[in-house]
Amino acid sequence: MKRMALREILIHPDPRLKKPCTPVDDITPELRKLADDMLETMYDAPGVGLAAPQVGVSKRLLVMDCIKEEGVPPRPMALINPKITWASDALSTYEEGCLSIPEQYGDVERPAEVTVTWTDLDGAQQEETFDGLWATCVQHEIDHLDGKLFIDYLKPLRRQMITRKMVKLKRERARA
Amino acid sequence: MTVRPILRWPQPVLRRAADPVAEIDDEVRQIWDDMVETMYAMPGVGLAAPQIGIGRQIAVVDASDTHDVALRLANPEVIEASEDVSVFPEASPCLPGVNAEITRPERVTVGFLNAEGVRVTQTFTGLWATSVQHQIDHLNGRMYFDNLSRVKREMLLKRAKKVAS
Repeated sequence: MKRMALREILIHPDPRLKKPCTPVDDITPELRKLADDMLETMYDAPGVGLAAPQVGVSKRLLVMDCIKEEGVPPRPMALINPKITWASDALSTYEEGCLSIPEQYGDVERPAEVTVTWTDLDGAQQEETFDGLWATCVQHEIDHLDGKLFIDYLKPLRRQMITRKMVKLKRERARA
Repeated sequence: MTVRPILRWPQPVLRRAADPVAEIDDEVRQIWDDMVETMYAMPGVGLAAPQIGIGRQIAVVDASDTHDVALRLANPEVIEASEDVSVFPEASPCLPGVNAEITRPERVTVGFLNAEGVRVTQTFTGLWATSVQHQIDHLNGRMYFDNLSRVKREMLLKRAKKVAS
């Protein structure tokens, strides 16, 4: 029997979401468990990506699965120490959201394609070029590992408005 | 001690009642040792032999945070259960990615053969009680989600399918 694996997702503003994360240097059973829990938490939310700092762990680990279509097998991925090694000149704009900033969305422009290298849970080096939603998602999650949120790309006024809403949301949740 | 691979539901061995153990011999002791190691590697709070493909009534439980008080049980059976219930979210490595809150008696008295091969009874509460009952379910060919209503069980299985690649 395993204990419940859902982790609590931190809500912005939180200093732990602003802090650059430290690289993972050892793939321990705890790290595998964390990756499993994060995938479960992400599917439960539901979301397409989740970074370790969002569950309060300051480590360079992210999970994602951008398959949304019915009938297509899911593709849960866990990326340890991911690095963008190439980014296309072409840009694309997505209306992004974030599990740490519930129900707030904003257009963010990012490279349309990126090549990412990472270590998988078996310790093997991986490399892949992502496009479409996958490219946006992986960049959004790597930003988290650097203490950056998608609202940092928005105009200051809009960012402040969203932050105020989140402060209010957290106050309401604390009271509930 | 070896970490054994864990079978995925619905492997047949997970769906049939396990055979009682006749005596505690070296083979059973070896299985217990491997199961303790496997349980800590999950990490988890209990493991039943069918989960590693052995259809015998052998289980281990350790609901401590320190992972150093593993209890070895053979042929466990609930002798007495409290009317008070408790609810814990339960999950299984046999069906990754999902969990469910299961209501069970808060306190159970269980008879079993211990590591020395002696028949003993012990009363468990809290997470220990839940995990012991969860293991006894396994030994009866049941999963924790077999305690859910049909609709909830099917929803859980659907979600598990989505999570599995």
